[in-house]
Amino acid sequence: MLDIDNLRVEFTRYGRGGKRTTARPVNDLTLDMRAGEILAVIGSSGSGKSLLAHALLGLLPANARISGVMTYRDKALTPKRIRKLRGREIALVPQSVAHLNPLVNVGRQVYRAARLSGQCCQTAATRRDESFERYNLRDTVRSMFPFQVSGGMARRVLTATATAGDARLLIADEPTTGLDEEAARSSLEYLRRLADGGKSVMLISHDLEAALTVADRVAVIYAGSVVEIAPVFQFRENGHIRHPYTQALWDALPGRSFTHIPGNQPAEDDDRPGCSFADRCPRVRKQCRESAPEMRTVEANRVRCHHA
Amino acid sequence: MLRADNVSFRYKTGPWILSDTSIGIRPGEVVGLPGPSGRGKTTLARLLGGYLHPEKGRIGVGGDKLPRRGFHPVQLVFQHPELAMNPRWKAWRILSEAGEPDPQVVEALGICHHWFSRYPHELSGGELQRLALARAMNPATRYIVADEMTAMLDPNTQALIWNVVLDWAERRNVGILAVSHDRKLLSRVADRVESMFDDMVAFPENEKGREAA
Repeated sequence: MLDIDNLRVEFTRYGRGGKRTTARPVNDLTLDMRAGEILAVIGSSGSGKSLLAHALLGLLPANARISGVMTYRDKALTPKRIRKLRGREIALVPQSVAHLNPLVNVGRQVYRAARLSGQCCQTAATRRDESFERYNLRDTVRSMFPFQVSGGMARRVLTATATAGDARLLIADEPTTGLDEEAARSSLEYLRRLADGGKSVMLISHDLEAALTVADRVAVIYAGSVVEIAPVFQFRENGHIRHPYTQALWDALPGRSFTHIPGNQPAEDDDRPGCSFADRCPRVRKQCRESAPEMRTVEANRVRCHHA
Repeated sequence: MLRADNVSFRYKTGPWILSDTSIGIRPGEVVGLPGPSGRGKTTLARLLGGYLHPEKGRIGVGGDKLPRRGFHPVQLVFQHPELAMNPRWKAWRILSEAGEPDPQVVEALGICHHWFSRYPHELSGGELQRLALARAMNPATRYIVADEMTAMLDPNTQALIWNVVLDWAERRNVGILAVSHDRKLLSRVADRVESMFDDMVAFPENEKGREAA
């Protein structure tokens, strides 16, 4: 469905005295998505997970340099093709009502999303009505403005905007932030239903625990690179987590041992060779500081570690 | 003891957000405050931190009223650190706003010296939250109110922050009010859970107490 191979995003900055530095917030990022699955992309703030979404939607600023190969449905995903597909085949599930136009009623906005996805005005109106019905939104909601809808309704309106077209790939960036337990659960439930209906959902989040409740696979991102992709069952009893960072995140959950590993993610302009996790890794060896590990398949997991 | 007695609050003539609410936190005690959004958890936190003033009732520390000026003994740590900082100040100025920070705290939180010359927008959420916390962990602080302090952070940074602040509070006999929707987190960090904003009656057993026993 979607394959990303060694995606790299670079920014050139000019520091004091015109000194040029290159920041690489996304570095050799590799992942794959299948049809009908939820892939959770988990990482800390500043790990590059939102930039990944921006790269997929062609929303990076003009001074970003992108390299690597992105393939969507067996064809290369070039900037030109992204412009053609976004809003049609690739859609963003907005994070909150703040992403909607505050001056336009929600019915019109869902209609507009359907129109922008290439449907004619009649189909778009039908699609709007269908999606309102699907998400149990009464007809009166259609003429409400974003500030008038309750938190729970807002989640459904946002999901409706993303699904008004025929998108096959949905990107949800932090869809549960700022929501209480109940609203967060329903927000994730809508994503699950979309995936069960055959769509692919990329769920970008920092909340590993919530992601595990709905996702099929989990991609853990560290310092701009995916270090492990593991099916959800590997996080249950007798499962095997292969990467020490995934293990650290898992162990840090309040319901588990609540321990942490010290240290910080390396800076974006850190050019040292070797594994980006070497400084914090409890299993670091000489080899880790010399060469960066490649992504490889170990049983059901894909992992980027010399020890796995 | 930090106490709010029969506190009521509303904005101007709006509906009452809190009415007749009481809570007490003893020095060195960690109290968890769970509940769904919109019940007034944050309003209570802001009242305790002196950002808002109650219309009825009183709030005090150890029998004294909360001071209206000078260093506030109750320090608030918010969910969004970037909103609690001057965006045009560099990290070092933010960190030392209430006096030079304790080097031990800075080190325990894993704050790097090269962050000091950066502006808030050049740092990540986890890095900013640690700066905000180090700023609140002042020798004059007697209570910390942590309002969804780690809701935006990954599990590792969350565990780091809580482990550091709990250890520091224990050594200095500082009380903590932990406001969060995450029950597992509260049962991990809190000595006692205050359930006045909560509908759920059953609460998982206190794990922290069990471990200590």
